Amino acid sequence: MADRRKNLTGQTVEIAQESERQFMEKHNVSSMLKDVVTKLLANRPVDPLSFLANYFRSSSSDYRIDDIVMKAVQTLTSTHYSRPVFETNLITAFQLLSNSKLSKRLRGMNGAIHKQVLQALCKDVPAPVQEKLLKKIECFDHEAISFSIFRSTVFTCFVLNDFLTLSKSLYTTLDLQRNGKAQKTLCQTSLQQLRESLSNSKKDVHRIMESSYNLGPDTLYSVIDKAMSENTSQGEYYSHDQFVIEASDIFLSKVKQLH
Amino acid sequence: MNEKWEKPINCTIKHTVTLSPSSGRATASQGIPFHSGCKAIDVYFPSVINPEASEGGEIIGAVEFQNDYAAFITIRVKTKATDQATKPASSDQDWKTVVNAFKLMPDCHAEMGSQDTFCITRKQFACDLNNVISLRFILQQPSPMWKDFNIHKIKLFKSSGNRKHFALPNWLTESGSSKPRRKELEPGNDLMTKTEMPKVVGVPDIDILSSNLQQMWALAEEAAANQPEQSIGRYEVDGCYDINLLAYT
Repeated sequence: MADRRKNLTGQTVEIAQESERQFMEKHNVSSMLKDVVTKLLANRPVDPLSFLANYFRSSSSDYRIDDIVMKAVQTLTSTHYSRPVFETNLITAFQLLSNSKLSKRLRGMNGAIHKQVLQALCKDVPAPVQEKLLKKIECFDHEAISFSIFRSTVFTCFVLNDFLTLSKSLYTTLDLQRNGKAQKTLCQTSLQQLRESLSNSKKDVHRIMESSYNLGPDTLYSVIDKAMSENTSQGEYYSHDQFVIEASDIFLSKVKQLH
Repeated sequence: MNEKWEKPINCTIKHTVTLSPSSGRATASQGIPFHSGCKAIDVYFPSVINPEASEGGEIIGAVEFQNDYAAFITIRVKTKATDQATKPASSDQDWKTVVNAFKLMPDCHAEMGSQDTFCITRKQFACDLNNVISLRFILQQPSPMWKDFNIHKIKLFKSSGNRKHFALPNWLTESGSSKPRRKELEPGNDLMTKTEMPKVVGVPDIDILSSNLQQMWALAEEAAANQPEQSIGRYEVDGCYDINLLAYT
């Protein structure tokens, strides 16, 4: 009542008097919040806070990302590739990138843009590994990228990232003294076992059974036990980087060369 | 096999008898031209009182033999009622069928299974083989393809009465962790795995190692499964163009 009376008398304070709902609508806050919560739930990122922070940063006008590549990368990284919404993100990113301007009249994604995306996705991958990966999956600058190529290459980058995380933790397991010197025999045997399992070329379900048997505790134990007993490289070590690179070589052997 | 059933049971295996319609009963083969396709082998146990019965609960657990072109086998058993202490009963009413027309050759006209060694175990028996006086193997071969048929190397094995032989091994039924599994597979090494490995050999926990490697394997397989099927249509091979290819375009 008091407010209304004031309104009638002086119109200068009108801005302060708008209701909460009006304020929200005026700045489009409610739809934005709704949007971000929907996205958050769909993507379920590992770190929700940084996801929110990124979202608001990119939507605030000061920081608006003009670079399409960065925008696409952000869309792609917003969720883990195992989640269903990743497929949607892939399509969104592909559409975004397909809209990039190549020349005066031409829009689309070419090999150069594709490469930028892959590099951004592999920024944490050690340089030699990244180089080998790109050699396999990058396209020439002038080539047009179809969705299936885009999808599989992006997917490979994501899986490689996870693979590297795993191989790092494997090294920590193997590095018993925690001094960055894991025994060479041990490393080689483990990697060899992995390599053999992956090189199994059978097509059917037997391959899966055999491979998982090869990597099971029993087989692993007997293989390591044998290798250790005829230990030829006593006192030799594998460094962290060396191990990770060798492990990723195994991974890369499963990546097809684009042609 | 020998671990399970130890030594074969001591018994007397008679010659194979060819059954023919003319004789009406089992006689020794005398070059009868008619092939009945049916033969019988009798097995007697040396002592009148079946040694298996006297040891209490021990019974015939398995029959092993090598096939020689017999298509079916039927096993019949003559048992002794426990109250008849001395004389073996001879009336036919004591005969029971243990295994009825067990198929040895999937197709009696074809070679498959004709030379295999078979082991019929208690699981396939229709009744328990205790207080046995004699066994009779009846062989059948309906196919005229084969000149003769028989089975050889008949061996009977005791069963200790322990039904565990036929239960699934523990490591298969236990769906739990891998530790009991290893115990099952490598009983001798297990102690060493537990105590010595980390200290002496310098190997980390094998279970962690294994699960880590398996995850890496799964990831690599996943990546391999998602490789593009279609090519992006490059003409060049190893950085060189095939000039013939270009000429046609």
